[in-house]
Amino acid sequence: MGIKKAYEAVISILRKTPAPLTEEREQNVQEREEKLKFSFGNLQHIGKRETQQDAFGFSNTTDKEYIMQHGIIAVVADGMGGLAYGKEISEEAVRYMLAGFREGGRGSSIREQLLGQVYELNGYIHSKYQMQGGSTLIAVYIKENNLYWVSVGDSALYLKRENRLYQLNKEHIHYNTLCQKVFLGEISSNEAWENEDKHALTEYIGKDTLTEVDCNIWPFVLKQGDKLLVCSDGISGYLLESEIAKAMEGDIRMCCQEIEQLIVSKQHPYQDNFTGLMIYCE
Amino acid sequence: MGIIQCSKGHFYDSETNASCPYCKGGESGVGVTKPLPVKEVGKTQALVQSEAVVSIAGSPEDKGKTVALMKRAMGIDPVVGWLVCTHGADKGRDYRIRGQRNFIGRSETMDICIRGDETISRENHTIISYNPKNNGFKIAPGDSKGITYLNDEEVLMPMSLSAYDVIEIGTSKLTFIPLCGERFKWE
Ligand SMILES: [Zn+2]
Repeated sequence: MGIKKAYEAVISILRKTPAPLTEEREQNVQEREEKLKFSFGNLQHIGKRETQQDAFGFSNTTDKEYIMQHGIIAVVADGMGGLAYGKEISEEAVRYMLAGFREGGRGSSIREQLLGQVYELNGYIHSKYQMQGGSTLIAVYIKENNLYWVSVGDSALYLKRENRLYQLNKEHIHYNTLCQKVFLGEISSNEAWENEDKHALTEYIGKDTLTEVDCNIWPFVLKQGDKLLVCSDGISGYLLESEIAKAMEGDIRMCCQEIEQLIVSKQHPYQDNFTGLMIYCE
Repeated sequence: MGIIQCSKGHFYDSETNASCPYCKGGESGVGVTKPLPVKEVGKTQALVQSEAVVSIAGSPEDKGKTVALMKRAMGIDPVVGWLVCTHGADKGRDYRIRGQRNFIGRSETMDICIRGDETISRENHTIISYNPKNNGFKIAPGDSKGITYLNDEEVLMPMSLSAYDVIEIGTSKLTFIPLCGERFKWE
């Protein structure tokens, strides 16, 4: 039995998914902070494209009681322009996530619920569209002061805290895979940088099998003054992080206007659709 | 301030907009059934292709658009074998085994998800690994409570797997079918 115990210990270190959050720990994390209030803003623009393939939505944020009980979810989906049905799929993805949120808990932890919903959505979109279309998806879920996110593809979640900007999610782009190869010494950093497919998605909703979904393991504790930006790559791929940080300085609705105006003023010839959702922790 | 939320969850200023500007022109026949054009984006195709990645949308006018990358079977995540459920709720189904460690459980987050059998642990019931260096397969117990049997013997330590070995987890039996082995190896 000694060997088995030792082996189990090794396996628990190697384990791929962490143990679900225990109630106890979840509570400890929450009690450390005063309860926050939130305000919201959003922006969307078609860019230089013929159709708007981004979709977005917040859960009901007007009913304070409801927020206390269920929390808040904000979703952005970026339909894939090269494929048919981009708009349809991004709309469906947002509706699906919002509807799943209203129905409430199935899994034991919030992380499991979010992951379960994303895998279900992927299966549904894959079987309906058979790889004829796809979408990125990013959703943030806030319950009390705790932030959870789930992301598939190259949309972004930024946190602005005390004059610094942090990207919280990992983007599923081929460049990240190439960087791993650089790290292993298989290719040079130049080869990675010059790869034509570096922006291509390695994960998206509608794929046959999702191999990687980005989802935080422990809740991220929000603080007063934090601002979140959930956006499609029409923003994150066209603005520098320093520009985003600067645009996120003022009142939340001003921030939204500023980002929109900044991108429009750049007049990028291929400017993608862009969508941004902002949440301010008061 | 006239900021309100529309039924789809968009915020807009009702003083300057009669209805939600983000919903306008946004609808694109959602819910309308359209025939899907049949196109060969098959797995066979993906398997034959070599090292390069496949962009679904790669024409010049798509430059800058969000492009999907189909991971080609080779090089990134090739199938190296299968499990076939020969007894239990999912009898007749097959599961792909890929490189390195494959975690088996009932949860959708598992590499190999056996949905139908409630007696299988949600996460990490069993691990099957493929080692490309020696081209061999091993089975190891996960860290859940459930026991794994290999040909009726309890799996306590990693054990080697051979073709047609029977793995029993929960009330399901899975037969192991290797692709990689003496006769084949991904190059
Ligand atoms: Zn609307």
